[in-house]
Amino acid sequence: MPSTNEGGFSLIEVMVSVVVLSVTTLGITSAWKLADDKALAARLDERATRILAEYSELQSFAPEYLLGQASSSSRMDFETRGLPLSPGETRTGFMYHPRHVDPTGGKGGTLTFDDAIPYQLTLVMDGQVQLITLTYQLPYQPDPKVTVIKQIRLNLRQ
Amino acid sequence: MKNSFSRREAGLTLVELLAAIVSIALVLGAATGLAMTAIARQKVEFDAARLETQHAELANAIFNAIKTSDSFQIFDSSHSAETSSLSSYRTGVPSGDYLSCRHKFTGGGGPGGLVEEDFEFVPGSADGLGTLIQTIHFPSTGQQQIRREFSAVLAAGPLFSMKDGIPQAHWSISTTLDRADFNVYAMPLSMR
Repeated sequence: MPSTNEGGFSLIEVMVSVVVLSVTTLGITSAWKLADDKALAARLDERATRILAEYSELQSFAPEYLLGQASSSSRMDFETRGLPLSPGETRTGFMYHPRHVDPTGGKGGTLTFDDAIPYQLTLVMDGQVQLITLTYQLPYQPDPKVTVIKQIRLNLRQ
Repeated sequence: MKNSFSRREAGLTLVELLAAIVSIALVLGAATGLAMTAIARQKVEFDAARLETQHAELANAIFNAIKTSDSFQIFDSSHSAETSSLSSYRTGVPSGDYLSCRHKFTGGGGPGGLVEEDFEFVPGSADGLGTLIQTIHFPSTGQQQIRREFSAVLAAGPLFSMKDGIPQAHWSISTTLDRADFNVYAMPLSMR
């Protein structure tokens, strides 16, 4: 009489091993994604700090004749490059410019970039200070997306 | 004599052993592939972050050089800066690829000295990427100059300008992942 347990693995054993391997693979890829997301978040934070530092200098020391030249409507940041913000004005721009990937797989245009992760910059007069607020959203968060707000308070111009 | 002729009692057959070796090799191969990919991705991230940090340092250096300068001037290029032997800087050109900032200092009641900090953009060749070169000269002491180079610079036009009366510099860098933009605005303390 042949034994039914003589060789090979049972279905249960195979399924358990497949599940263990899947969980391990999922864990490794999740760790990678988390590392990438954290690295991107750190770079975005650094860029936001840089943008605020640029505006800190403009708001405090730009020549008087440049004040009020910016429009109160929303404009792209590069259009108003070098102009201080007006109270209530909103400027928009992009914090991240990933390398352009041709969907057809073409290799041309290695130095072309896309625009991603928009930000908004506003100036509000808050009592005796100028309050500059920069807002952007982390792209990889599931809905609702996490909004990052960075602010800098400057003295009013004398 | 019992069981002495049984060939299935212990050990593995050659086929089972080969199958196990192939399985282990496959698993090790996949794990190594994963590890290599992870290392390559980390290197790309690291290179991008390092380049951006270097240029952030350069942006700070340009900001501080302009901010604390006693006089500065923008030149078209290094050639025009070399041919100019001005004792003190003048208005200069409205925009160009060469910025020179001078800092005078006095020490111990002596005659004082001069430190000159220059920034030059050298356009690239075929790949369209140039280099920004920072040079610090010590003409009064004769000390050896300090020179640093910052690569992967993309510049749409002249890097330095006096647009709207504000000394400023604009450039981008092409990292292994993306493009990062740098804008420097600095009103010299001596101009306040």
